[in-house]
Parts: sequence; C-alpha cells; structure tokens
Amino acid sequence: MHALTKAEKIYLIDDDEIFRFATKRFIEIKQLAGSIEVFANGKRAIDHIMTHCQNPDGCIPQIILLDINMPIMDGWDFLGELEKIDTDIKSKTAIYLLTSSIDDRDIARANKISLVKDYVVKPVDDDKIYKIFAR
Amino acid sequence: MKTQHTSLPFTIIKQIPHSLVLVFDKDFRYIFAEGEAFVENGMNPEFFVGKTIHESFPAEEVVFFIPYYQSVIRGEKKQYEHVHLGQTFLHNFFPYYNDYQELVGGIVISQNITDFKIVQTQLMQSEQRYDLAMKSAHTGIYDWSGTTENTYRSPRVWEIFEIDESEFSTSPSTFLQYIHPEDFKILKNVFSNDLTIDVFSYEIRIITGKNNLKWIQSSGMILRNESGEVVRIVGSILDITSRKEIEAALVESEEKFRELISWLPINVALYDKKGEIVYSNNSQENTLVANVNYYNEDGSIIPANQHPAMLVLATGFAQKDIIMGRQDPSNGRNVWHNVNAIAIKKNGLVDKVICTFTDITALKQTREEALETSKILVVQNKQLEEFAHITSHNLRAPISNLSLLVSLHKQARSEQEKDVYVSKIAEVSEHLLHSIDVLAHSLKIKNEIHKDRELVQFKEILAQTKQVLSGQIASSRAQITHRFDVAELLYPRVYLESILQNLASNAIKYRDRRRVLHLSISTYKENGRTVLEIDDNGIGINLDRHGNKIFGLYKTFHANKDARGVGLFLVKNQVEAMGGFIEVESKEGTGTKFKITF
Repeated sequence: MHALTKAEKIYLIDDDEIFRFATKRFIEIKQLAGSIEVFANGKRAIDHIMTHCQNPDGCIPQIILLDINMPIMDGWDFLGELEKIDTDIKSKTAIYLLTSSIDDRDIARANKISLVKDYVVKPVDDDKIYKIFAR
Repeated sequence: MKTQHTSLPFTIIKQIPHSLVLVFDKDFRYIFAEGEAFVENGMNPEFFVGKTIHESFPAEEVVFFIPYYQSVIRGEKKQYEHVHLGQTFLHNFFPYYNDYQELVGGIVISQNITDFKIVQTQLMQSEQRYDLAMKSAHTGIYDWSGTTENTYRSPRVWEIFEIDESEFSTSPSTFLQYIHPEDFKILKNVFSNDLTIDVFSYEIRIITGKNNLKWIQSSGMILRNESGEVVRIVGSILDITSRKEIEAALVESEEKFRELISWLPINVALYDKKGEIVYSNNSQENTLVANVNYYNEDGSIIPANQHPAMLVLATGFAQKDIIMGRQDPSNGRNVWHNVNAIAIKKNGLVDKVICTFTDITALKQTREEALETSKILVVQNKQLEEFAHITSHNLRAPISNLSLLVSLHKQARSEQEKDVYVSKIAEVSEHLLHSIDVLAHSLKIKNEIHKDRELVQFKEILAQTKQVLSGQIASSRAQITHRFDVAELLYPRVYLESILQNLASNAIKYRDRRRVLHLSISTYKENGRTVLEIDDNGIGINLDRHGNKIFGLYKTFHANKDARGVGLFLVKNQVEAMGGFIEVESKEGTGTKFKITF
C-alpha cells in the first residue's frame, strides 16, 4: 500500500460531467481528501478563487486537478488568470494537468509552465491517483 | 631633165604619201629622185640626182643599203625595213630594165610606215588580249548576221555545244535544235521584235551534240535596221553547268535545312539588326514583337523592347529560359513559351539574333495541376491530423471515463451504488457511439468529393431551411433577409442544405437575447468564385481565444445547453470536401460573419 498524504482540500476543474462524477467518487471512496470542490470550467474556478483564496486570509486547496480543453475558459487560460491573482495557490498548491490529449505539443507547453507540477494523461486509474497523492 | 618631171608618173610619185622613189644606175649613181618623204624630211630631191649613194648618205647608213643595191644589180628583188630617228621605213628594191630588157640599174621605193606600224602593233596586242581573254574565260563568241551560213562561231562555241563544225556545215541544221524545249520561250522573248531590247543576257539549258544537258549563259548585243528587224546579233556563250549544279546543290541543302527546321517541335526565328524577322519556321511568330502582346507569368505585359530578342540586340547578352505567354490567335487560348535568344556576332557586333520558342503550355498545365494536387494534399493532411486529434481526444475521453466507471463498479459495496455506475456507463457509451457516428459521417463527406452535383437555386435552399427551422425562427422572432447576386450553384444539394441549416441554426442558438436577431444571407462573386455570406448580430465568439478551434469537433464556446460542437465541424468538412473554404469574422457582443468560398 502506498503511503498516502490525505489532502485537506482539492479542486477538480473539468467540463466532462462523467469524469467529474467518477473522479470525485473515487477520491471519496479512497478517502484521499477532506473535501472536493468541482468546477465545470476555468472561469467558475477562477471566480471561486477570487472570492475565497486571495491573501491574506484565503483558504487554499493542496491539490488542483485541471483539465485542458474546456469551453468558456480552458486550462491554459485558467493558469494565465491565476497568475494575476494574489494567492498562495501559486506557491503552495500542486497543480496537475489532467487531460485525454496525448498531443506532444500540449505536453511540451505544460512543461514550460512552472505552476504545473505534472501532466497526467486520462484515463486516471488507481496508480495515477495514488501517485498524485503520494507526493 | 626638168621637163620630164611634168610627166604623169612623176606627178603620181610626188603624190604618194610618206614615200620617195630613187632610181640608180649600175654605179649606184642616182638618175631620178622624187617623193613627199623628201620634203617631209627637209630634203630637196634634186640634190640626189647625179650623185652616187656614197655622196648622198652617211657611210654608216650606206653599209646597210649596199648589199640590197648589189642584189638588185644581180636582178633580185629585196625588201628592207629599218627604223631611223623613231620613224619606220620600208624599202623595196627591184631591178630597172630598159626597153631592151637589159638591166641598167635599180629602183628604190621607200615608204614611211610609222603610223601603219603603230596601228598594226595595237591591233596585234588587242588580238592577243582577245585570244587570251577568250581562252581564260572559256567564252565562245558568235556573230550572227541573218543566216546560219553568215554566222561566225569561235572554236569554243563548238566545244560547248559538242558539235563537229565540219559535220554541222554539211547538213542543213540550226543551233536552235540544241536549245532545251522548256527554255525556248526565253530565247523567243529576247529576240522578239521588241525594239527596246538591244543588249541581252540569259541563262538557258541546251542539249549538246553528244546529248549532254548543259547550262549556258549568253550575253550580247542586238543590231536592228531602220524598220526594227534584227539584222545582227553579237554575243558570247559561257558554260555555267557546274555553277548551276553548285547552286542547285546549295538550294537543295538549304531546302533540307529549312524542312528540318520546319519540323522541329520548337519555333525558331532569326532577327536582323533592326529587330525584323528574316526567317521563321512558324508563321505565328512572324509578327510577334510588333503586334503580339506577350506577358509574364504574373500576367504583366512584356514591353516590345523587353522581348528577349530585343534585349539581345540591345545588350549582346544571351537570354535564357524566359517564360512568356501569349494568346493563340486561332483559338484564344493561352500559349506559354520557354524562350532562349542568342546573338550572332559579326566583327564583334550583334548582327543577328536567333530566338527559340519551346511550347511549355502542357508542361505548365501539368505543373499547375501538381500544385493544385499538393494544395489538396495539404488540406487532406490537415484533415487527417484533425482526425487523429479527434480520435485521440474525443474518443479517448469517453473510453477513459468508461474504464474509471468500471473500476468504481468493481469496488462498489452496494447494488444501489452499482446501478448508479451502470447508468453512467450507459450514458458514456451512448455518447461514444454518437461520436463515432459523427466521425463516420465526416469521413463519408471527405470521400464524397465526387458526389453528384446539380444546379441548386439558393432561393430554394433558403426556403427549405426556413421550413426546417420554422419552430426556432418563430420562437426567436429572427428576421432573415437575403440578397442572392449569384442565383445558383453547381453543388451537391444535401451539402448546401446542411451548410445553410447548420449556420442559420447556430445563429439562432447564439443570438443575443437583448435584441432582435437579424440574419442576412447573401451570395456574390469574388475572384471568379461564388461566395455565400451569413451575417448575424448575435453574441459573437472571441476568436483570439477560440479562432483555431471553432471548426473542431465538440468544441463549444458558450455555456449553452444545446451546444454540441458538431455543426461547424460538419460544415467545414462539407465545404472543404468540395474544394472550398470557410472563414469566420466575429466580435463578442456584436455578431458573427461566416464566409464560404465555394
């Protein structure tokens, strides 16, 4: 069994309703997080962060699972907007890009962004989830 | 003695020009002297009478004459020519007999023949020259004065005609029989009664006495009497057979050369210093520089002074592989040539220009077709890439969801929980099936490039679209206007229906609910192609953000419940499959314009 760190709070940002449902359920079953906040696109997540996570008193998640392709505001734009906000998310939160894209260009782009901790290709199975929470 | 001098012989002797007469006895004493020559030389004839030769002439002259005097006394006749002080004298010595036939002395008749001598010398020289000229030129001379018998022909004439002179004169024949029948009319023209002809020169063929065909050239003069009849013809005859043969060979070789050039698949033109064509194997190129508009590949006109041949004339430098087009006057089609021009120099200066025109119309067409094909390939490559993206993204996502749900299903603790996962699995499966259907449909469109086209009226298509979308149009109160500058299009009807329906339905779906939707649909020509434009005043799309994704599969940009992200993907596929392209202009809050170039 992996030595898992239980996160206080994680954000799941993905437009795929089934994926949100399944992933949230999986994390709940494994009891990997105290609470999970889900957002259907980047815009909704940014709005939430602006309200709840700004310094000095904001409360931040330990982990963000971020999809790339989403309507209204995609993963890249979310990261761009996040840069503009004064929040500890930028320094303390581990942001994982979760995507079904196996496009090399997306991977390369993700590697260039310092905010991104890692790039995880869907489907997200036990191993991949455990790896995220083991760190 | 003096009385005797009045006699007739004396008078005659005195009158003989440039002459003198001396009569001497056996002692060489002169008993008679008279003649014009004495006076001409400042002497008195009477001085000599009664004097001997020794008393009359200087000793050195006497020495020459004495032998002749002695011969005469022996009864002989002598002649002696001598030159004295630049004058030539001819002396005739003969014996003098009395009435009894007794030799009593001699007579000397001396004549100054200086003038005669000069003429004679000149004549001789002229004859020599004439002989020489005739021999060297191989020229035959003839002089016809009315009849065959009265005609003079030099030996060379007989040689040329290969006729034996003796045989010819014994039989009643004429030179006319040796003239080639076809050339008879030439002679007829020359020797007609046309009074204006007095000198002639002609070339005709003859068939000689030995049956050889020869070419002769004859030049000469015609003399006529007062009534204009030909009375005398003096002329020369030259054998020009070998010259004619060389000429014929030259003509033949040039004809061969011209034939060769005329059959070349390239056009050749030869220009002179003035830029005029002196030779061309193609009549179409004859007028090119002055009257034909040549153009570059980009369509710009090439000025006459920029024509390769003219450039070579101006600069002397060869022009290589110039691509020029012009219209074929016979059918109006474009003809393309690869043109090369090079100078022919004389004394270092451009004298002529050779220009070759190779027809590359077919080659160029092939090249353009290849370019078109490669453009299509680029589009198809892009579509293939898109397809790879779709499979990697749009198919992978639901499949990974399935695997996640299956994994949850396994770990489920209650039947109730399992049912939730199964219903989700069913949902994802349905979505996956739909994705595969859309992909299959788009592939079908791509393969239907040769789908049956028909002449479709835009009006009909619009009417049909309005009918299909009648519910949405009514509920949205959309106002649809149209202007079809191009009324019809050769296109697969179903595609055009699908395109208009998808775009119109999008416009209604993404209308700005704060204002009435105005949808204007128009067609027009642009660069020879038909364009369909659909312009709305809807909510618009941020193209800076979504521009490259707008036509992708399942791309939705609005939090709209109905958005499925399939319509534009199919429209794009249909338009591109038929060789067209679709563009979009949009501004958030203002509206969107789709422009389809067929």
